[in-house]
Amino acid sequence: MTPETWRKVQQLFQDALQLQGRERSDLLDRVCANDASLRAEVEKLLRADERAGGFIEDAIDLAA
Amino acid sequence: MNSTPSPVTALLSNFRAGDSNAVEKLFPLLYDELRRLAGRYLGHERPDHTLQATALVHEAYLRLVGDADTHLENRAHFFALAAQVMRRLLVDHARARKMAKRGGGAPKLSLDEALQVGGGEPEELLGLDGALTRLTELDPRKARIIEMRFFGGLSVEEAASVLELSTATIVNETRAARAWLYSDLSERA
Repeated sequence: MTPETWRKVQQLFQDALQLQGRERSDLLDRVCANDASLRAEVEKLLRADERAGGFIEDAIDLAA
Repeated sequence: MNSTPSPVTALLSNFRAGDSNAVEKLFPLLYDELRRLAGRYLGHERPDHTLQATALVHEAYLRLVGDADTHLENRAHFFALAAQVMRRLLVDHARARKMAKRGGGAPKLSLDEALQVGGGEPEELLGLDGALTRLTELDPRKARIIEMRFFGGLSVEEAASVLELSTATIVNETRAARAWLYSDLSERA
């Protein structure tokens, strides 16, 4: 992954975390209209974020 | 505690000023101290209280630096370096344990389990170490943040101080790094 792609993935991941459901998928539709691989990368991270459970989080204070 | 600055305090100031020789001197000092503290802890077969990596690092700080150095930035840099040392120590320990397991003579309590940074299986800690190394190639800053927070127990504020970033950035970076690491490990599982 190029640094530029990774930067885009990060930004979109952070933006998508602020949204849920339809709003989130609308954002991904809009930003990734011509970039399916960007969408796949971001969705992979969003899924991981949801499933990670206590991974690492148990050992650190994730929020603040 | 000592009222005069310890040799470690002077090395920390040099380290903070960008002296790479200071790191080469500090790393083995910290390694020996943390290994000694961890060993003493592991010597108790059934510890009656849990000890976290962060507590071990704090104890090492008090022993090596004392409370004479009130420079908060030195303190944060000590913790950041101690996090690297803890990671190395835990990886070394997990490798040794993996070898011992093959020979049927693994110690009863593993270091990562004792320090509550892993599930006790050496493969788990070694897996995380590998994923963190891969993250370093993609995004060194995120990997560093996880290293500091996970292995050194740095708070958001301490990590922000060392990296000269906002606390909001540390929180965001931690969450993204965690998702990436989880995804990377899931794909390899």
